Amino acid sequence: MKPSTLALVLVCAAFSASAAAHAHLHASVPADHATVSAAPRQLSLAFNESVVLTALTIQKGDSAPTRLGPLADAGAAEFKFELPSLDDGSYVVKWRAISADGHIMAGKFTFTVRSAAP
Amino acid sequence: MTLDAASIALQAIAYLALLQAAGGVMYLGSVGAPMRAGREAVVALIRRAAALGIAAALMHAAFEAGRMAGEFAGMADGRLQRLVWFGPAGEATVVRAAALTILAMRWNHGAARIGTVRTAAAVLAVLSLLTVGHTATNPARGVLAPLLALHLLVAAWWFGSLLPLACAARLEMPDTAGRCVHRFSVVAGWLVPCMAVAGLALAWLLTGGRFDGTQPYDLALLAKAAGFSSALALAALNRWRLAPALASGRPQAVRRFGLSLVVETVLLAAVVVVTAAMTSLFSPESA
Repeated sequence: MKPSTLALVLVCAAFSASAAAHAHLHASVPADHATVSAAPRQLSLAFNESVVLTALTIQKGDSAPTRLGPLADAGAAEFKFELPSLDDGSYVVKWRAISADGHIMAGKFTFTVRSAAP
Repeated sequence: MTLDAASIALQAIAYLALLQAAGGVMYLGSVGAPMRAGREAVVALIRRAAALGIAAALMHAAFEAGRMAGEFAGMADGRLQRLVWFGPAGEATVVRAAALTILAMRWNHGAARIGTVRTAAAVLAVLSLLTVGHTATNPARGVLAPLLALHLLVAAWWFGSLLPLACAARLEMPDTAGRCVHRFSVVAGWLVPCMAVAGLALAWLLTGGRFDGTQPYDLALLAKAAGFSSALALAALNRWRLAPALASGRPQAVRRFGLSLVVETVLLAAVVVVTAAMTSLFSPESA
């Protein structure tokens, strides 16, 4: 194979795979790394494109994660879920979703509840 | 083994088996047509690869429900299994499994022609991959799909021809083996550049070429490029040094040529494994 062809193929290999972009979470309420003074009652998620949520949990420290739902089979870009009563502390929200192209994405974000002293 | 690792392993096996089975059929229908003594071995390879491809694809689809849940228990979740099998990945798996079933069935390896049905099944099995991935939902799908199809079909033909060529070198008379290798080199000289052009066009249309070489996705791309370039170097060695020696019947030529093809196969397989991991775990947008 000629060097010019080899170079062409290498460039192709390097860039063709980068074409497969995935959906991602671009905003949430509470936001990632946010500290809120009052326990939120609702969780909002906003993705850059329509997805189907397949798993959603919230976890405080080392305690067992709590599933949030119900999760619909229909795709959407924005979701809202009622939250259980949250004490002061740091929480991790973990999500999994499939995008319209069939890719499974996973992500997580954290926020902290720190109520004002009585 | 974690869920992701198990899923990626199954995905890689499914891809490799698919490329071997479909590519093997393409080989017999094109550059491998002169084969006689080694044809039975190639047909057996295709049938086994097809059977493995079916099993791995079905298991991978079932594992996807687990990945959706983030735990193995998700595989028993009816809602998630429904999302898998009635979604793009499930549909692609069903189509691919049906096409590979045709290749796995008993066939007359002595027949001179591969047959329209098997050729169509091989092409369909590869093209089933078009229904998943980012091009499936892109507004420019009318342009992207043909480019990706060309890219995948040439990849299948290339990868799927290597072990059959090793069979030809081992089992055929030197002149027949030399003819197969020569035909392969001539066709590859046209198809590989076409594959490259198709890849470049895909990249141009979809991304604009973001790449900084520092993130996991980029590192995976570099690993792919390294494996790919090594395989190409071996291909060049085969074409210019080992193939002429094989055709002239020189001692040790068969062993060296076969070893080179096996190494080339391993390198391309490594590229496929990296691809399976990269597309499962990393996103270029988060890179």
